[in-house]
Amino acid sequence: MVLYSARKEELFAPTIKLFEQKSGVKVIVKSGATGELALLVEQERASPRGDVYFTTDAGDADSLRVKSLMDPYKSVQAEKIPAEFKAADGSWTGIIGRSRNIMVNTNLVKPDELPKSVFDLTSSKWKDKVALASIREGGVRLWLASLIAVKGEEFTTKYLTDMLANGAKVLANHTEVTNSVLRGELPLGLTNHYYFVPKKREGAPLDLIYPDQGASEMGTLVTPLVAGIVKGARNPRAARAFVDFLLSPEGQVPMTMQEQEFPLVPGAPLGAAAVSGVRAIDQIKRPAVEFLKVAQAQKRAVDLYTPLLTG
Amino acid sequence: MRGLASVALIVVCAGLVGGPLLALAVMVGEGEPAAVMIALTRAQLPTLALSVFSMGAGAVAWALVAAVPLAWLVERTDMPFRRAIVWLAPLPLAVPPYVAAIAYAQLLGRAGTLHTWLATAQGVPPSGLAWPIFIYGNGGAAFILGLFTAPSLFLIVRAALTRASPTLEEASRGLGFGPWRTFLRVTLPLIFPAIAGGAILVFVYAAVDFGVVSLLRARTVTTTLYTYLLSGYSRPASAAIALGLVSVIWVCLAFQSLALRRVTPAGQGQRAHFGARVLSLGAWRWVALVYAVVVLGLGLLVPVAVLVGNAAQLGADLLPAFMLAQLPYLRRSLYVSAAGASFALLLSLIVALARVYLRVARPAGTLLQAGYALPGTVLGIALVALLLRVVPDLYGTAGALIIAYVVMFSAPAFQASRSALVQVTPSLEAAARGLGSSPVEVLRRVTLPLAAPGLVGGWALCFALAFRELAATIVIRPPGYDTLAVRIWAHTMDVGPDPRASAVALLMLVVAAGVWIVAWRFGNRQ
Repeated sequence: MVLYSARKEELFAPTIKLFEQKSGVKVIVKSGATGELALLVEQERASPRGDVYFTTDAGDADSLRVKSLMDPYKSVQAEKIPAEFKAADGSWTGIIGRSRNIMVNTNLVKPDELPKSVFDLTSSKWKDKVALASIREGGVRLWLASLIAVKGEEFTTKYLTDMLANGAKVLANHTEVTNSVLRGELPLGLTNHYYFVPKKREGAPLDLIYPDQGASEMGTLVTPLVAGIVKGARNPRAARAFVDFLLSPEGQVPMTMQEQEFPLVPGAPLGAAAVSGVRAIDQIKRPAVEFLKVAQAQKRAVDLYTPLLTG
Repeated sequence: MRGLASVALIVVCAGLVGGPLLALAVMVGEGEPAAVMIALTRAQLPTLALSVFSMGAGAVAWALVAAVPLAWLVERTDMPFRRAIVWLAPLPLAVPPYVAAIAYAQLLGRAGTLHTWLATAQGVPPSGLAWPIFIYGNGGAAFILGLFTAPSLFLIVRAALTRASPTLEEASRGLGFGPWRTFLRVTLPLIFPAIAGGAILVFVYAAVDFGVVSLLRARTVTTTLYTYLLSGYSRPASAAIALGLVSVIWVCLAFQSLALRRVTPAGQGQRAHFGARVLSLGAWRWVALVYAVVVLGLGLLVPVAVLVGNAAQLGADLLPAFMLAQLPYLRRSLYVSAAGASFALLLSLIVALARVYLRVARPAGTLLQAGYALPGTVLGIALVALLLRVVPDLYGTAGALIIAYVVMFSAPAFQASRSALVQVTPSLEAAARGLGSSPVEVLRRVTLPLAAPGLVGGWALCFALAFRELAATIVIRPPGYDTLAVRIWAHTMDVGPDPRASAVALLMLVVAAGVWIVAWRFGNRQ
């Protein structure tokens, strides 16, 4: 079975190994950036070479669904996963979750001064103090799309321009955002929660803010890592077995152990390696909007904000 | 006969290079014209073009400073340790520039090793010490790109100096001209085609690079191109930008050809033996050595020191097993890079021969250069589209990777073979012909042996470039067929570099050093 994966190989390897042992199926991994792999699936449409597309960006999987390049499959294991994290037709399924946070350097910001909302970041208090990543990062695209879906286009455009006018720095990717906060170049960075986990384990002076958690606020975005089966896959049975396995409690364990990604099934435990500061899915107030709406608003976010966030 | 050969060559080169360009044109055509226009307008291309030009010029300046004096010193003076320097100078080519960028950012960036060390020495946290060194931005990117492509310039210029007979220089000295005037009036004109060719390679590499540019927060045309492509904003517009980039670079190359047409290399023939008839520098030889040490230190010692420091974190218990596990990737890397370099050299040699001896196939030579001017990811996607339509069975095999390397690196191979052939004295060949040798025999027994050092240098250059190539390899490689460069990336992706990435980078460096030494000995034995 050929797996097109946008997930860091080392983090995925234990899961894949376990699947190979359980099923006897040999998995060949081709890693790449999520956008690259989506382009590849599209180029190969006449003669697909990948069986499963696994991506950190549900938006890319959904764009393949729109182009009818995914083979719908509803795994029994996916039943307990909230509908917001699945394509209705089964083209792609959320496997595990990540949240969109503000990372803070605790040497540079006092606990009582921490921002509570992403919308605080346009205030003069945070002038020249915020890092965010280029729109090449799927996390950024989905976050902007969630703002559009919840707050509307006009609001989001004004928010983003205000933030950039306030000196927010656009960096190449989330690794760079994390590094710049870690080194104290900039005290705050908008990033995904799992960038925080390994640094925290090393004892870095970092903290994770779950923004907009108040009763009247929009909530913190949770994005799923998703898997889908490529239409015309050469090994469809193995592909289905792989998706089933990823969703099974057994298959989830290695993923929660690594960078503290969390199961999407409410009530499922965070896992034995939990780092303080990371929350399980039912402890996060999320935007009251279907994830599919977010994935779909992505196209609009990309149209509107690509020239602003090339970095 | 000439016409036929010309047409055949043009067809081969057009298929290899023109094919991907055609695939890109098809991609542009898939877009709605109005939408593509809007995307292009929003890209602020004139500003970006200016930025590319200044960054590329900066990279060329760094490369010239790091390569040309060094090549002259090792070939024409008694600078100490010349032999060692000849071996070491090309090695920075084996460091993928984005690895070098990470290493330099780690060393010189804010809160990097140097900043932290200085702050600690003064008893303050790094945040309490102002930090003026900016490795970031277009300046930093120009520095890294210049430094890590300089060896290609060094190889080409050094090969030209080896072939340029020192007799003219000696005559100039005999007429009482000083070494400086001799260099300016005699040596420089002799090696000018090589310098110009090498500088163009550096410029184009910088203009289409994305890895260093994005890591060091520079902004060029590729930043927008990749953002458009990978965010899904507008694939047609990104294909259009790629085609525009190729066209602009083509125009630059055309100017280069025009400029060089007037330069007639003369006074060449017998090859200077290594170390023969050198200029005595006196006390200046130590100044020269300091310069060489600084160049090699920046290009080799600094990245190696950072990589060793990182890799050491793996610990002595994990490192051997990890290195052993890299052997299959190493084998593939060697195979595809060597095959790619060989085919690229063969093709470009045929084109260069046709161009120099038959005075035909100029368009083929120009065509060959385009592959180098395409950003790797774009070339990768275009090649996938093309191969799947034309030879679907080849796609998904190592052959597809080899084709990609031929397309990408025929330009440096062509620069090397052309300057190697141009400098072979026609009178020697004429003499051989006069003695009754057939043209093929002349080629085999006179021309190729004379051009051998230049050709081997060209092969080594292409090999090193293919060995470290990442962007196109990621897209085109068959599933499970990772190269060492891909492994570095795989250990870097998502959460930043880890010690394993550094360990693989060191392995690449050591292997490339071995290959280079073998190639160098081979080239100089002929």
